[in-house]
Amino acid sequence: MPLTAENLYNTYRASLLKYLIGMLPGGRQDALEILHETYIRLLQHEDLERIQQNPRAYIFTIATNLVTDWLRRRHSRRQDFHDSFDELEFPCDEMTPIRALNWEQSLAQLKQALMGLPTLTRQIFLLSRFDELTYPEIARELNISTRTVERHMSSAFHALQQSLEDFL
Amino acid sequence: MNTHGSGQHSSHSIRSQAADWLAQMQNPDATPETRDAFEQWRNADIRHALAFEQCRSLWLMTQELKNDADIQRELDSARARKKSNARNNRWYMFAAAATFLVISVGVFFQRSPQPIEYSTAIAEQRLIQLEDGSSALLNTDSALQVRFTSNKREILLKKGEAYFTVAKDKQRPFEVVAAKSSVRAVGTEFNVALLNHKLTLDVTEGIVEFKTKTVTDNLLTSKVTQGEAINFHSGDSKLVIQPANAARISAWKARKIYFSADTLEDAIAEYNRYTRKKIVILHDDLKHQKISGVFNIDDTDTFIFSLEQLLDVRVERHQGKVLIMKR
Repeated sequence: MPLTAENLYNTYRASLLKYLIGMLPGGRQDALEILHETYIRLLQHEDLERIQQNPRAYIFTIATNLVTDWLRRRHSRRQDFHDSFDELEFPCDEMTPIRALNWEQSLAQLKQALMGLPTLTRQIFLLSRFDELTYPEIARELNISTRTVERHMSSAFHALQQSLEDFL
Repeated sequence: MNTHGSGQHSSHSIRSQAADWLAQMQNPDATPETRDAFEQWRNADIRHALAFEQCRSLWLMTQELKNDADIQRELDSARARKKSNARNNRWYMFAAAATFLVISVGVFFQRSPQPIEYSTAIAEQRLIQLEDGSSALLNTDSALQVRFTSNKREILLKKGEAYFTVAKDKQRPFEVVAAKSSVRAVGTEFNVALLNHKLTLDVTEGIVEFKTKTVTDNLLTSKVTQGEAINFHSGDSKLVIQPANAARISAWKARKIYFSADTLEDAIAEYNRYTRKKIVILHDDLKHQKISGVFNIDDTDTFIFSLEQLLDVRVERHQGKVLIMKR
């Protein structure tokens, strides 16, 4: 089989789609959009030989990059729209029942991972995540070193990874 | 899915490296050397780049938990810890300047520990982590006092409602006192509410011992086990065991109110616990209408709207109050 973007795309299409559905609140619709964008990026990629060393990791990296961009844009959008955004977001729930389920499952797993952390680790993570405190600020407030904050954050990230392990 | 080109073991270690790097890169004080080392690591292998990017997605995904009730509560207790830590720091600095005073006060505290007060405002909920590993989730407009000694863990519920998760400690029973009643446990979970001269105890796990006094000073005691409840009004002369209202309790823990064929009067009284904009029923004959459903405690407007739809009533807003009247 010749190494073409199209072949690569077809090989990983199904597993990519499954992966993306779990990572995006918009479900199948948004997942398809990112899937197509991934394909376009792949077509623009000149050096397919390099990709061949580990095609799966390359393609999933492209897709995950698009996911992080998407999530980041969504959060800045959210701040503009405030509460009304929630209502705008789910105009056609019945059409794609699968999406809410998968995204919500992912979120539920992440939540469970956070709730299962040691109290101090969880509190550090939440202050960093939702109050947007910097490590030095957290360290000062809790009377610990910045390096300790870093270690707690790392173990929180690790717990999040483990909660979605089958899927990453 | 994660076995391509690498064993489970190496993908695990790449993941924990990615977690470490993300933690380091989010530190605004990371040195240029650290940033260079990170870039090197990321570019060394596409699997590194993938694991890092995934970790960053997970971080962004957790943003969506912002409005989750449990996460909110945990965040509140993190903020509280921050504050109390700041207080402790100040106390410590003062103590360093007056060592003698601290020692004498310290001895005094050890003999009779200062009770610690916790309270919540209307619509606020707060998770209190106690030093023994137990916790108390305090509902709206509630107050309690905690006093732990070497042989007893004592909580005084002054008003409102709390859900207790008790860590096992046979040497130190856990006792919640509310009005003239007390609930004694070793390791279990239960809910206590003190509202309008009525004490309600619901046991969701294990077994507790309930004690109370009647107006004529008779002592009443009873064991209450998982799935059972006691509703004791201050004028009652005996204890009646009833089924626990688990649905209502899990609802309030998720910032919701659950009604199951409650009278409108009871439902409004319950909802008013959570809102400053009090709801008043103007016509007595509306009070006995029945209402069922689950409502958010933070969304009075939807609740009022549902009443209008379900019960055929008219609603007027007047001077910070919501008036319910016949149509």
